[in-house]
Amino acid sequence: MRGILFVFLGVAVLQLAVPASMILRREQVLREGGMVQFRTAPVDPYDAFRGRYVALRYADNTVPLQDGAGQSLKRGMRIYVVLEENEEGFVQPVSYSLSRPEEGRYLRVPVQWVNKGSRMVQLDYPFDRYYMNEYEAPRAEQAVRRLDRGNPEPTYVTVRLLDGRAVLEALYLDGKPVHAYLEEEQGQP
Amino acid sequence: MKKHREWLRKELPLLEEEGVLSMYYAQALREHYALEEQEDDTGPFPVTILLGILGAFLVGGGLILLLGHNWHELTRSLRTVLIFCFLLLSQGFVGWVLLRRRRSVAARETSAVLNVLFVAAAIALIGQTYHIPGNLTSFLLVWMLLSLPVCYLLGSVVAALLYLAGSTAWGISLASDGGSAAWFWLLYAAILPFAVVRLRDVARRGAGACLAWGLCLHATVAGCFLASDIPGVWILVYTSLFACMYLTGVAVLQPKPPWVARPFLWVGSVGGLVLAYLLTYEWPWSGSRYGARWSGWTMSSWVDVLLWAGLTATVVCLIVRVVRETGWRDAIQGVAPVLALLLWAAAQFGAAPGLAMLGFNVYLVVLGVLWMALGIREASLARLNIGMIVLMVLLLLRFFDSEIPMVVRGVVYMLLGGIVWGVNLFMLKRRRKAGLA
Repeated sequence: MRGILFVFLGVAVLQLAVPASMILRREQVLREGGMVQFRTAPVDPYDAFRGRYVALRYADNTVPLQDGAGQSLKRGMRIYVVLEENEEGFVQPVSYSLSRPEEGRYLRVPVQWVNKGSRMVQLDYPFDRYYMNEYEAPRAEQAVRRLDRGNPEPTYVTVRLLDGRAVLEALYLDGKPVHAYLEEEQGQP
Repeated sequence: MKKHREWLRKELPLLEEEGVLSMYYAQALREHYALEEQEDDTGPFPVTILLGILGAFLVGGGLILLLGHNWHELTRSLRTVLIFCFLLLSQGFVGWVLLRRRRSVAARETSAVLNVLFVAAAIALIGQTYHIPGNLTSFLLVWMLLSLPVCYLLGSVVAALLYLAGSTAWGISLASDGGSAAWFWLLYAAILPFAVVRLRDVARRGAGACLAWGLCLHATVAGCFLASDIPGVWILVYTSLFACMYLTGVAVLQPKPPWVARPFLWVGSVGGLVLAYLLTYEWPWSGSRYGARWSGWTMSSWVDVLLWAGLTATVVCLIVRVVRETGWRDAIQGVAPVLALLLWAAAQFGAAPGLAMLGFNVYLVVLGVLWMALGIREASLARLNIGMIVLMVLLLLRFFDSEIPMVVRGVVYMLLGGIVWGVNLFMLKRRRKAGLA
């Protein structure tokens, strides 16, 4: 019986430690990471366990294929992408390396595919979902579609970066946080 | 008294096997004399177990749905508190069951299912809070790895079935994303020690039979996780897998349980036959030559080879055991992996697909004739008809994919029908003479 109790305690600690580690790693990035903005193009799908979310695609999600990058890139391979801010304040990938850069803003990201014809590497950013309340997510989607039609203010997300790890912080519509935008929209006649 | 109990414990399976006692009365005697340590609440109608499990599914599923709503009023810290509260609550229940209700199957199964679902709820809430990317793949893997120990700790068959379903879903999700799901076999192997212990109950317990069906069906689906870097490797793996199941059904599960509790035999024999019929066509063999898609050895191709080697070694051991215990007749279907290996190797050395097709046609004819011969020798209508069905299906397939004129096909069919009737009548007369029918 004592043996079973020890095993039970081990299992209980493991079941608590894994979620704790998942939370702590992301809290660290949110607390200590630098903030960047990515321009997006959202739609509204559904996850059976985690609820509705806004699926995010990114306008700047490719980086030029480099000659002599050490080895050929393959789908799923993780590379370090160096990010630079443009004049509008959004970050864009400018180059990549297989080893961790010593300085600057960079992100560890899987390769989605390599287009050898156009010599571009498509990146699979590790922040492709923004989870929302089940009633608000469809409204956010409608707002995005409306805003996409000739709105000068882009839709974008803010992301915290730390040591190549990223945690999505907020989604902005028309320059406002998505919840604030939806509340404001609801208040309008 | 202890000595007598021990004697009765050993005697009951023999009495059941010989038909002196029904399964129900044997179980009643076991319970009356407390021959088994556990299971306060098992019996012919395990309502408390089923209701407990259903309740756990409803509560756990309800919690996942409630959290899926995404209450944006909840701050990150409050969500963290909730995550640990759910986990501690379900762990507290598990701890209480281990300390106070260990002999209750209903309590063990209920607490296990609740814990597995609460772990899912906790991981889902973390994913939602931190907008963790990706599809179900990573979510399922973490969930299954955290749920696996619960199966062992509580001896829960339902948790094991959930684990199997989750692992298979993970493999499918990974394979559809283009990844190698070879690791699925490690997840599958991780539950096998638990399954082996539980399968000893397969003859008497519905739970053991459910687990056996789960193991067989998931292993069958898992063929789509083969990396297939080696052309035609699926032929080798699947023939060994089905032979392994069939022989396990024949050899390991003695005394013979009712048919519903014999999934290894059913899935193994039906799967093995369907596969043999498929292998009488050209398409599996024309794509199985080296060079077509071969791009060198990868880790995934090594996993495929190891899997095949492990299964084939098991088949060999099981054939030896079956031949020793019940004779060669029950080991006939175990020959398929050897034949597949020889024909696959011939295809790699440039033999035409026709050779392999012919090989499996001959195999099915021999199999059908042997079953029929056994049926006649042992006056068993079941064996005789199985042999006939094997032959008839083969003939049916051949006549659909050959260019023989319709008149010829029609006449041959009618002749075959007449032969089947004739043989059956002959057998019936023989059985009547022998006083068997």
